[in-house]
Amino acid sequence: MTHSRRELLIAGAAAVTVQGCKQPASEDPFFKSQIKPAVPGSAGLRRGHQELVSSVCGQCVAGCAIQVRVVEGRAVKVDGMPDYPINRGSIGPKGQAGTGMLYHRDRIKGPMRREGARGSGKLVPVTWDVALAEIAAQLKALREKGEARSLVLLSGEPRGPMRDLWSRFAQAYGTPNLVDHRAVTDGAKGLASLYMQGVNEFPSYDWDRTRYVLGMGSSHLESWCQTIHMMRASSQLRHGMPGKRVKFVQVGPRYSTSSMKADEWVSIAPATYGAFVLGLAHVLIRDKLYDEKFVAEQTFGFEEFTGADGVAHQGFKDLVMSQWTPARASAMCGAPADVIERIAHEMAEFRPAIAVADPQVGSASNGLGAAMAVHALNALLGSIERPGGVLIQQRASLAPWAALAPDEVAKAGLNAPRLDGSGQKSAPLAEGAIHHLPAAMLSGKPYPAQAVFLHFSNPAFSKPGGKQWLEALAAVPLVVSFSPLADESTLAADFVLPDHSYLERFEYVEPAPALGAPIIGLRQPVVQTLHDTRQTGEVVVQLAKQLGGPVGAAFGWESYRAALDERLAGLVEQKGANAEADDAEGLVEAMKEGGGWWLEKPDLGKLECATPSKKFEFYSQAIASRLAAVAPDALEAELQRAGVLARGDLLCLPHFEPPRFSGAVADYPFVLLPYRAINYAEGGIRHLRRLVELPLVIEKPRAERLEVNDDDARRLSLKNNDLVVVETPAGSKELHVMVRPGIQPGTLGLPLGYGQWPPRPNEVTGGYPLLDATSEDAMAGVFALLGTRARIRRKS
Amino acid sequence: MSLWDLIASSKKDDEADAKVEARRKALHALTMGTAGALVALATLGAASGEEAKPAEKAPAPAPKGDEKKKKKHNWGMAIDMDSCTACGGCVVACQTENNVPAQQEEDSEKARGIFWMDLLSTAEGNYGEGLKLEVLPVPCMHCEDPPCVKVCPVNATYVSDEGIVAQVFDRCIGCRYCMSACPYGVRHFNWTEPKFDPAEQQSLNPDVACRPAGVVEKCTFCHHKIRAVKEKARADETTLTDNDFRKITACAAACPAQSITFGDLNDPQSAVSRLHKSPRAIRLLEELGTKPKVVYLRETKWRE
Repeated sequence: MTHSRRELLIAGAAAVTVQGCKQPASEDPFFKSQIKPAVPGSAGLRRGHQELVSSVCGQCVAGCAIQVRVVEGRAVKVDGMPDYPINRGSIGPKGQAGTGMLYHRDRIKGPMRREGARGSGKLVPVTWDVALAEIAAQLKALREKGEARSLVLLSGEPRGPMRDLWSRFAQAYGTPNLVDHRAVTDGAKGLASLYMQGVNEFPSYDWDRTRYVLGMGSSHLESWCQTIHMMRASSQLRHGMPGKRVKFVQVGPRYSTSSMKADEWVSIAPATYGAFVLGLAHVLIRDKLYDEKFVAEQTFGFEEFTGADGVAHQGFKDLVMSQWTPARASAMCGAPADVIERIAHEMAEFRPAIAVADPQVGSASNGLGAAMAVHALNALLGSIERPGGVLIQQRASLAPWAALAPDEVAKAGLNAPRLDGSGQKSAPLAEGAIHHLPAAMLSGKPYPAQAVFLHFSNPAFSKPGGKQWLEALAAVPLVVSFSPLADESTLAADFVLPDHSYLERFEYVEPAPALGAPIIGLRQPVVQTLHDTRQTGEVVVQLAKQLGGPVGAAFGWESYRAALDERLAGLVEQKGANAEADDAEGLVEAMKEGGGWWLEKPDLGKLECATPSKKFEFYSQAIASRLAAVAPDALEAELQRAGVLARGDLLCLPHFEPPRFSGAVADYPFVLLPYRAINYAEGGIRHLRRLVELPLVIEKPRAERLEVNDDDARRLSLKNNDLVVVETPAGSKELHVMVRPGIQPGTLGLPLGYGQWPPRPNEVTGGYPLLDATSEDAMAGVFALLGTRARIRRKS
Repeated sequence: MSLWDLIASSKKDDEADAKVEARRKALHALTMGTAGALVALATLGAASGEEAKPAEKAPAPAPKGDEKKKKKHNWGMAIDMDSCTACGGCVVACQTENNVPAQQEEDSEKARGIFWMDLLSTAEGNYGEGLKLEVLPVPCMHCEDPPCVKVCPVNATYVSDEGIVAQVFDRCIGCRYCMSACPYGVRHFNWTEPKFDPAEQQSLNPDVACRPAGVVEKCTFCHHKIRAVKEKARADETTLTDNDFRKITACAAACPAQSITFGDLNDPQSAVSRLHKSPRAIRLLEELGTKPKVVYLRETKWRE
C-alpha cells in the first residue's frame, strides 16, 4: 500500500490545522492553487497514475514522434520518441511547448457563429448540427447555381491525409481553388525540383554520409521543414563519425544561428545567391571538376541542343562559361572571387558534397532561377540520388482511396481558371500563389469568391497584405474557420468549427522530407478531448455527406477514421522496419509502439525523373512548354510588367538577375531581411509565452525587435532598445532596435511570428504587414520575402 | 540527510535496509495519525539501535573527511559547444519539467524572468571582420565550492550528498544573498506568485512543487528524476548504469543535438567523467575557484 506525496501533503496540512493555525491551509491561496480540478478521463484513474503515450508533434511539418507523460489524465511533459528516425528521442523548444497549446486558455471551446457586423469579431456558440446544416445548405446552393468554382479552400497542411482529403473534396465539389501556403514560404524550392526533376517537393539530404555541406542562407538550425532532424544531423557531422569531420560553409547576408555554427561564413548581398552558385559552377566546369559521367549520362541541357522544331537552344555549360566567371559573380554578390574559387575546389575534393538551399533563396524576385542554380550545382557535383547527396523523399505505399468520378458540375468547376492566377499568363510557372488571392477576391475577377474555408491558415497574420486579406474576407458571403484558436482570420469568419489540438487528434502524418526513406508517423490522442471540438477530417466527411449527391458518394466512409484505416491498410503489404502486422488494426497498434512505420534506408536505384527527357534537366523543358502555352505577345507584356530581364532560353535555365525590391533606394535605403527564428511557426508563436520569451541568438530580445548593424546604428545615433518607426512601401510600425554586429550594414533584420495576442478584430500585427505583397518572382508566382526596402527614423 | 533521502537511498547492507524500512513505516504511520507515528518512531529507534527521536533529527552525517569517499554519486554535466545548435530546446524542457512559469511581458521588461537553464551569448568582432557569436546554455554549475551556500543565513541552500547544490524552498527567506554571491547568475527570485492560468495548471508536473513569491529558486539537476529512476530500479531490483543517467535531466533528454551529457563524476567510466577530462573541456570563471561541475567542450575547427 503506497501513498502519493500529495496525500501526504494534504494529511500534513490537516495536521497543522488541527494544531490551531488561524487560517486553515486549505484556504491559503497558494495551497489552493496547487490543487487541480479533475479533468475528463481521469475519473477511473487512481491517484498518481501515469503513463507514456506516443504520438506525433504537430507544432510544425517535421513530424517528430513524441512520448507524452500523462499523469491522472493530464499531459504534463512532452519528450521525444526514442529510435524514431527523424528525431531519435529528442525534441525542440516548440515541441516541448506542446502542452501549452493543449491547455491554452484561449482555445475555442465549441462551434461558434458570427453575431453582429462583419469585423466586429463577436462570435456566439452554436451547435454542431446547426452549423454544419447551414454551411452545407450554402455550399449546396452554390453548387446548384453552377458556381462550385467560387469555393476557396485554404489549407496550410502541405502533405498528409488532410491535404488528400481537401483535394478529394475540391475534386468532388468542383473547385480548382485549393491553395496552400507554399508560395509565401518555400515555393521556389519545390518548383526547382519540379522543373528539373519532376517532383514538386523539397529534396531530403543524406547528411549521414556527406563530407561537405554548402548552406545557401540555410536556416536548418532555425526554421527548416526538418529542424530537429537537421540539428541532430549537423551535430553528427562534427563528432558523430569518428575520424570524419564534415565542413559546413554558410553563405548569406545575415549572421544567423546556423551561420554561427558553420565552419566558415561567407557574406553576400541580399538575394544574390544565384550569382554565387553560378560562379561556383563556372569554376567546376572550367577546371573539369564536375561529375562528367553523371552529367553526360543522366542529365539533359548541359550542352547546347537542337529542339524538335529545329531551333538551337543554349545549354547550361555555355551559359555559365560565357557569363559567370568568378570575377563577375563576385561583382554581383560581393563575395571575393578567390573565396568562390576555393569553395568550388573544396566541394570537388570532398565528395559527396551537397548544396542546401534555404527557402529564402527562392523567396526573392529572382527566386526560381536561384533555386534552380543550387539544384544544378548538386547535379554538377554528381550528388543527385547518391549516398551522401540530395535525395527525393520516397513515400510509403499507402492504399489509394477509390477513384472518384466528378459529375458535370464538378468538371465545369475544375476547368475554371484558378483565382490565384496559377498557370495563367500572369504566373505561368506557378503551382499556387496564395498572395494573389486578396486582390482577386476584392476585384471579383475572373469571378467572385463565394465561400472561403480556412484550415491551418491565418492569412491575415501570416501572409503579406493582412489588412487586404481582412477586407477580402469581409466581402465573401461565407467564411468558415477550423482554427482551435481565435486568430485574426477566425475573428473575421462566419462560422468557427474548432479542430482538436494536435494532442487530441488521431491521424497518420507524412513528415516533411527528412531521410529519403519512406516514413509515416501515427498521431493519437494523449488525453481525452477537452472541449466540444471536432477533428476537421471528421467535419469534412460529415459535411460531404450532408451535401449528398456525387460529393457525398465520394466520401462514403463511416467516419474519417475509416478513411485513414483504408489508406493505412496499404502498409500491411510492405514490411516496415519496426511495425508489421497482418491487418490494418494490428498495424495501427504496432505503429503506436514506435510512433510510426518506416523503412531504414532509402532505395537508391537508378535515377528516374518525371521530366520530358526522363533525365535531370538543366534546361527545363517543362518550363519551356508552359511558357510556350502563353501567347508570345502576352508573355512579353507580362515579363515587362514584372520587370524580368531574362528572355528565351534563359528563363528555362538556372540563371541570375539582380533582385528587384519594392521601394526606391533613395527613399528606402535599407533592405528588409525578415527571418524565421527557431521559435517561428506559420500561425505565429505569440500565443505561447514560453516561445515568445525564448532566448534568441544575441542579447535577450524576448520580443519582436528590429536588428540594426552597429555602424548603421552609430550613424543614425541609435542605441539598443531605442524606439524607431520602420516604414516600407507597404506600411509602417514602431519597433525597438536591437543593435547587433551580425546584421549586414544596409539591411534590417526582422523576426517573423511575433505579434499581438490575443488578436483584436480588424487589426493585423507582426512583421508581414511591412512586406509588400506585390513583390514577387512573377513567372513562378512566388512571393519575395527578400523584396522590400525600408527606412527607419527615431520615434520622437 | 533528509528523510526523503533516506527513503531513496539504496544502501545494500542489511542494517541500513532495516533502518530504511523502519523509516518508511514511520512515515506511513505519520499519514495515518499521531499515535501510530509514535509507535512507529519507537520501532525506528529500535531498528537503528538509537533512541526514539523526531524524524528531522536523523543521524548526524559522518565526519567531513570521510564523507567525500563515501559519496555514492557526484553528479556533473558536460555541454558540447561543438554540436550545440542554440535551439533553446533545453530551456523549454527545463521550464515544463520544473513548473517554471513562462515569463510575462512585465517580467521581461524588468528582467525578472526565471530561467533555470538560460542561453547566454557572447559576441566578438564586427560584420565582416572576425565576427564570432557564441551561445552557451547555462544551468547551475553545481560548484564543488559554491559561494552561494556560504552566504545563506538560514541553510536554505546546501550541497547534497550527491553533489547537487540544492535549495530548500520552504526554508528560504528571500534575502537574495545567494544571488549576489553566485558569479554565474543562475539563481532567480520569485517576485510574484507563480503565474499559471487555470487551464495551464493542468499541465504542471506533480513531482515538482511550485515556488511561492519571495523565494529563490534554481536548477536542481532534476533530482526528482534521479530519485525516481533509483526508486524504480530498487523496486525492479535492477542495477543502474551510466546509460540510465546520461540523459536523465530534462535538458539532456530534450537536446536535439545531443550536446548535454549528465552523469556520475565518481564513476571514472561514465561518459561525463571522460568528457570532464577532455582537452576541450573548459569551465566558466574557473579562476574564481568555485570548481564548477558543469564543463563546456569548446568548439573545434574543420581539420583540426
